[in-house]
Amino acid sequence: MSSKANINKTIGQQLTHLVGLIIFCVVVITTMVNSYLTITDSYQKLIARSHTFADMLALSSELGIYTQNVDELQQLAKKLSRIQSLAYVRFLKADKTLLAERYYNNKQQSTENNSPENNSTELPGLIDILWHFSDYNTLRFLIPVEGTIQATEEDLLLHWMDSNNELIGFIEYGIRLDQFYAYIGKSLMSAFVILILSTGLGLLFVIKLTKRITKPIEILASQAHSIAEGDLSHITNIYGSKEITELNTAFSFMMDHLRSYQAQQAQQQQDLTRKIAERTQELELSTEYAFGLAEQAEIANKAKSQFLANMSHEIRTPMNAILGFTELVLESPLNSEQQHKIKLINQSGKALLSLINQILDFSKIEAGELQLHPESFNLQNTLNHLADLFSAQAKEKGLTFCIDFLPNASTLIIGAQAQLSQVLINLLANAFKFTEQGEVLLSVQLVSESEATVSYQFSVSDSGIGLSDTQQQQIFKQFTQVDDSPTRKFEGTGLGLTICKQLIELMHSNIKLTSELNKGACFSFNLEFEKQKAISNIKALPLINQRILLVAQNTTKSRILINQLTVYGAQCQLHTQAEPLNTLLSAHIQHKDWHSIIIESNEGNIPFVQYIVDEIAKNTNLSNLRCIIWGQNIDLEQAPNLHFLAQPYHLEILANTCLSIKSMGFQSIQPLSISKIIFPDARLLVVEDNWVNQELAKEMLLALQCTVVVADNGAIAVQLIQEDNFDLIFMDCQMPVLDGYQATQQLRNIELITQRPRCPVIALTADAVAGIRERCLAAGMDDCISKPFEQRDLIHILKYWLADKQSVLIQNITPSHNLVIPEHSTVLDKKALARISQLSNSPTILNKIIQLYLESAPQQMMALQSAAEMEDWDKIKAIAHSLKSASANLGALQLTASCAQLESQSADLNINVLQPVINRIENELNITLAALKSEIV
Amino acid sequence: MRHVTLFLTLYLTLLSAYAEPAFPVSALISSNSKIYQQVLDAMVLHAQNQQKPIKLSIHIIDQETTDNDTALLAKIKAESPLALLSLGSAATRFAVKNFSRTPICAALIVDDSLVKNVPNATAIVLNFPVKLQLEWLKKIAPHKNHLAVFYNPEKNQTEVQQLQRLAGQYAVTIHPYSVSSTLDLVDTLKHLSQQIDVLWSFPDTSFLNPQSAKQLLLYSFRNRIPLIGVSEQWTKAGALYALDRDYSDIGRQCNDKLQLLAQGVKAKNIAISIPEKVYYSINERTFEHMKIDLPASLKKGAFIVF
Repeated sequence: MSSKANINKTIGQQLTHLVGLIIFCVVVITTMVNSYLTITDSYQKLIARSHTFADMLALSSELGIYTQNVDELQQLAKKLSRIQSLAYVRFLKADKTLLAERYYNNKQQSTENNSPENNSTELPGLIDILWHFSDYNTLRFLIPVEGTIQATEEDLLLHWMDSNNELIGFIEYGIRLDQFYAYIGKSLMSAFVILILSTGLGLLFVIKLTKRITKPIEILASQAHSIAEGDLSHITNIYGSKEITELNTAFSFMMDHLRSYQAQQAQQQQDLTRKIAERTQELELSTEYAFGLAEQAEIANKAKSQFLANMSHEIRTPMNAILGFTELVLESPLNSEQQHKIKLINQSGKALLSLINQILDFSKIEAGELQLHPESFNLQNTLNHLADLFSAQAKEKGLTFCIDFLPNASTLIIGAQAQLSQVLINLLANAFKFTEQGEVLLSVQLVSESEATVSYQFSVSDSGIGLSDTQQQQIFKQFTQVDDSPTRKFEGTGLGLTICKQLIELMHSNIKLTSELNKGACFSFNLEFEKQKAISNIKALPLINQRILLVAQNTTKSRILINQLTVYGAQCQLHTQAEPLNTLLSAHIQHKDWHSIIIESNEGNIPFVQYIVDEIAKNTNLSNLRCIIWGQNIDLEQAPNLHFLAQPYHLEILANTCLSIKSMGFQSIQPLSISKIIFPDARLLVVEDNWVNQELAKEMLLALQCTVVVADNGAIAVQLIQEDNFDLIFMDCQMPVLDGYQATQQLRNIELITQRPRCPVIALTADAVAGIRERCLAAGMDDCISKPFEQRDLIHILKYWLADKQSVLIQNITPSHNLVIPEHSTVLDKKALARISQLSNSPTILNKIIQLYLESAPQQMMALQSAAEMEDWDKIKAIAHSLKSASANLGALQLTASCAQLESQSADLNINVLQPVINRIENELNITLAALKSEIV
Repeated sequence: MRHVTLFLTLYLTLLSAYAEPAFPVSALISSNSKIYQQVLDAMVLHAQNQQKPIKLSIHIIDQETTDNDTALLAKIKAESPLALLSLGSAATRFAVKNFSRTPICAALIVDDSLVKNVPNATAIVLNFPVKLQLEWLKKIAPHKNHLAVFYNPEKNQTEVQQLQRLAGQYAVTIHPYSVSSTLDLVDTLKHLSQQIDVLWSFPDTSFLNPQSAKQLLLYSFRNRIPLIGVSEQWTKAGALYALDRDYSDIGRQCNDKLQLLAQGVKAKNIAISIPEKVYYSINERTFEHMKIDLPASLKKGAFIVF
C-alpha cells in the first residue's frame, strides 16, 4: 500500500519525509538520552552534594553527638537554615534516640513519609523518584556518625589516626526535591525546545538539501516531459552533484541523439508524406482506372447477362420453333430423304440446345442462381427413363448397358429429380462417349434407409478409355476435356462434368472419380432423399416360387439379373453351358420343371438361340416352359410362350415378362398396356406473338386433345379473356402492344372486378436468366415454362393445374416398345445385314431377302394407308406388325420402331393419333427402301 | 693438619656446651600493630647481636582481655618465662596484676604511674620531659611565648608545675588549663586567653580523644594558633610539629633491661627510663598557614615533613 502511496509522491517528498523522520528520531533519542543523562547527573550531583554535606555535617556534629551536646547540635541546626534545599535535620544517638532536630520552612508534614523510624539508609532510584515524584517531596538521608575508639593514652601517641571507628550516632536530614524537580522541568523544557529547534532546523536543512538534490532531477523530468511532447529546443544545462552532472551529460548526449533522430524522422516523415502523396495520387489514378475497369466489367457483366438473356430468348425462341416443327414435320408424310434430313435437323437442334442448356446451367450455377426444387418422384421411373434414353446408343455402339438396381428399395422419394437426371444423363453420356467396347453400368445401391429418409449411392462406370491421374485432377474443371488437342476425337463444351460436380455439391454431396487409364472410369456420389410418407414401401414378391433358368454368360448383367429376380422371389439358376435342354428335361423328369428360361441373345449366338427355341417348341414336355429371349431381339418363328426382354429393361417389365400370361399362347411380342394422359375438356388460350411458336404450342396442345385459342399479343388476350372463359392461359412474356406481365395484371383486375374465378396463367419465356420466374409470379402469373418446351413439359403443367380435366387414354404396346427409337442411328443396321449374309456365306440370301422386302414393303405400305383410310384398326395393327418384323430383320431400326409404335397405338382407335405415325412410317420406309437398294450386291 | 682439624672440632663442641641458653621471655602486647612489632623485632635483634638470645613468646592483651583470663595465664605460666615484656598500658596493667614476682619490663606506656610502685617492674615510658618540650619549642617556634597547656590535674600537676618553673628560663609564659573531660576541653577552648599563641596538651585520655583532638586541631587551624602534637600522627593531622621516638631504639632499650633482669638484677633496681633518641616531624603546610618560618636546617633535620 505504502508503495502505491509512494507513487504519488516525489522523490523530494519521500526523501524529506525519510530524512526528516530520521532526524526527528535521532533528535528525540539524543535529547531523551541527553536529558536522562543530565537528570541522572544532576541527581548524582545532588546525592554527592548531600553526602558531602553529610560528611561536613558529621564532622561538625561529631563532637556534639559524641558528647550529646544538644545545645551545640541545636545551634548547628540553626546555622544550617541557610541551606535552602534542606528540609529538616535530625541528630540521633547511636540507638537512634533523638538528640536534636530542626525543620525548615515549616514543612514538617512533608517529611512524614521519611520519618526517622524508617531505618532504611538506601536512597531511592532516580526512576523511582521520577515515576512517583508526588510521593517524594524530599530526599531523606540517614548518615551514621562514627568516632575513633581510643582505649589507652598511648594510642593518642602511637596510632591516633589509625584508630578503629565506632558508631556514635546518626544525622538524618531531608533534601527538598522541588528544586530538583524544577531543574528536571527546565531540562525537559530545554530538551523539548532543543528538540523542536533541532527538528525544525533539520527539516529545513533536509528540505533545502532535498531541493538541491531533486531540483536538477525535476528539471530533468520537466525536460523529459518537454521531450515527450516533442519539444527539444528548451534544454538547459544542470549543475549539481557528480551524479547529476553525469546524468545531465548523458541527458544532453541523449538529446543530441534525439535531435538527430528527430531531424532524420522529420526528413523521413517528409519523404514518407511525399511518397504517400505520390502513392495516393497513383492510387487515385489506379482507383479511377479500377473504377473504370469495374464499370467496364459491370458493363461487360451486364452485357454478358444481356447476352445470356438474348441467347436465352433469341436463341431458344427459334430453337423452340426448329425443334417443335421438325417434330411436327417428322410426324407428317415425308419421303425417306426428307425425313432423314429433318431428323438430322432435329437432332442437330437438340444437340445445339443441349450445348446452350449446358452453358446456361453453368452460368446459373456460377452465378448462384440455380435453385433446387425438390419434388416427389419415382426413382424407378427415372432409371427407366435413363434406360430408354441410352438403350439405343448402347445398341448402336454394341455396348452392354446395365442398370443395377434392386426392386426392394424405396423408390417413391422427394428430391431434385431434374438435377439428378441431368447428372446421370451427363455421366452416362460421357460413359457412352468414351467407351468403344464392353459395358456401361449404372448402379444405384441402397446405402441406408430410415423411416424418413433413404440414401443411395449412384455410380456410373464404364470400360472405356479411362483417365490418367493428371486427367483425373483436371476433369472437373470447367471447359476441360480429356483430350484438349486440336485433333481431339471427342467433342463437347467441357462443362458436363463441371456441371455434374456443382449440381452434386448443390445437393450436399460430392462426386468421386476412380479410374485407370484404358481400363475405364467410375463416377460415384451419394444422395439422401426424403421418403414420400404416404406411400407404403412394402414390396411384393411377384415371382415367388418361380423357377427360372438363365442361360447366359457369367457377366455383370447376368449377375444383376439374377439378383433382381431373386429379390422378386424367384429361384434363379445361371446356366452357362451350351446345352440347357438336358437340364430342362432332367428337371421335368424330377417333377421340378423350370417355369421360365431366359436365354441371353446377342449378335454372336442368334443361331444358338434359335436352335434352343426350336427345340423347346418341339418338345412337348417343355410346352409350359416360358421362353424369354434377353438382349438382342431376334425374329424367330412363332413359338409358344416365347417372350422378349430388352437390355436394358424396366424392372416392372422384367417381372411382367417372367410372369405373363402363359395362357395367351404364342406371340412374338407380348403387348403391354400403357396409359396416355389427355385433357379433352380443357379450353386453353395461347398468347404468343411469334407465329412459329404459336403454331407449335397449338399443335402440341391439340395432340393432348385440348381446345386451343390463339392470341397474337397481350391486348388481344385481354379482349378474349373478357369475352370468353378459359381453363388455363399460356402467356408469352415479351410481346408487342401489351406484354405478358401487363396482360396478366389486367387479367387479374378483370377477375377481381367481375368476381370470376382465378384462371391459371403459365408464363412462356425464353429467358433463362435468374429472377424471371419471380418476376412472372410477381406479375400475377402462376407458373413458368421455359422455351423450348416439349410436350411432356406441357403435360406436366396441365396435370398440375388442370387435374380435374385430366383423362387417361389406355394404349396397348408391344414389349418392343421398350426400344427407343434411336436418335442418331443410321437408316440401316449394317450388322443385321451382315448376319444375314453370314448365314450362307454369300450375298445371295441377303439380296433375295432385300428384293423380297423391296417388293412387299411398298405393298404393305399401301395396304396400311388403305386400312387407315378405312380405320380398320386390326388391319393396321397386323400390317404394322408384319412390316415391323420384316424391317427389323433387315436392320431398319427406325422403321421398326415406328411400326412398333403404330402397332401399339392402333388400339387407340383414333386416326388422328395414328395418322402421323403412319406418315412417318411411310417416310422411313422410303428411306429404308432406298438404303436397301444400295445394299444389293 | 689432622691435629688442627681435630682441635677445632673439639673447640666448637666445648664452645657449644658452655654457650649461654636463651632467656625465656613472655611478651604481652596491647596491640599487634606495626610499632609493637618494630619494638619486638629490634629487641630480639639486639639480643641476638649480644649473643644473649631471648626466647620470646608473644601474647596479645587488648581491651577485651579480662584481667583474670585463666587460660591465658595458664598458658603464660606454662612457658615458665623468666621475665615478662609488656608493651602498652593494657598489657602492663595485666602483667602487674597477675605477676608479682616475675620481673616485668614495661614499654610503650605514656607515663610511669602503672609501674612506679611495682617492685618487680621497670619501664621505658613514652613521655618526654617538659624541659625537652620547651627546648624544642624554642628551636622550632622561638617566637611563640604563650603556651597554653591542657592537663589533667590528677595526673599532670607535677609536670605543670615543673613547666612553670622552667618557663622563665625559656622565656615562655605557661597558661595551664585544667581539663577534666572532652566537653570541658571544648568549653576551655572557647575561653582561651587571647595571648595564647601556641597550644600543647598532655596526652591524657580523660579529655583527649580523637574527637576532642579534632576539635583542638580545628581550633588551632581556625585561630591560627599552632598546636604542638604528641606524635607524628598529630603532625600529619595538622599539628605544627611533634617530638617522636625511635621505636627500634626502644626495643634496644627493652633488650638492655631484659638482659639486666636475666643477669639477676632486681627490677626495682633498674631505673624507669625514657626514649633515648628524639625525632621530630613537621607539617610544612601548617607552618605556612600559621605563617611561621621554617628554616631549612629544621626542615632538613626533621624525621618526616608533611
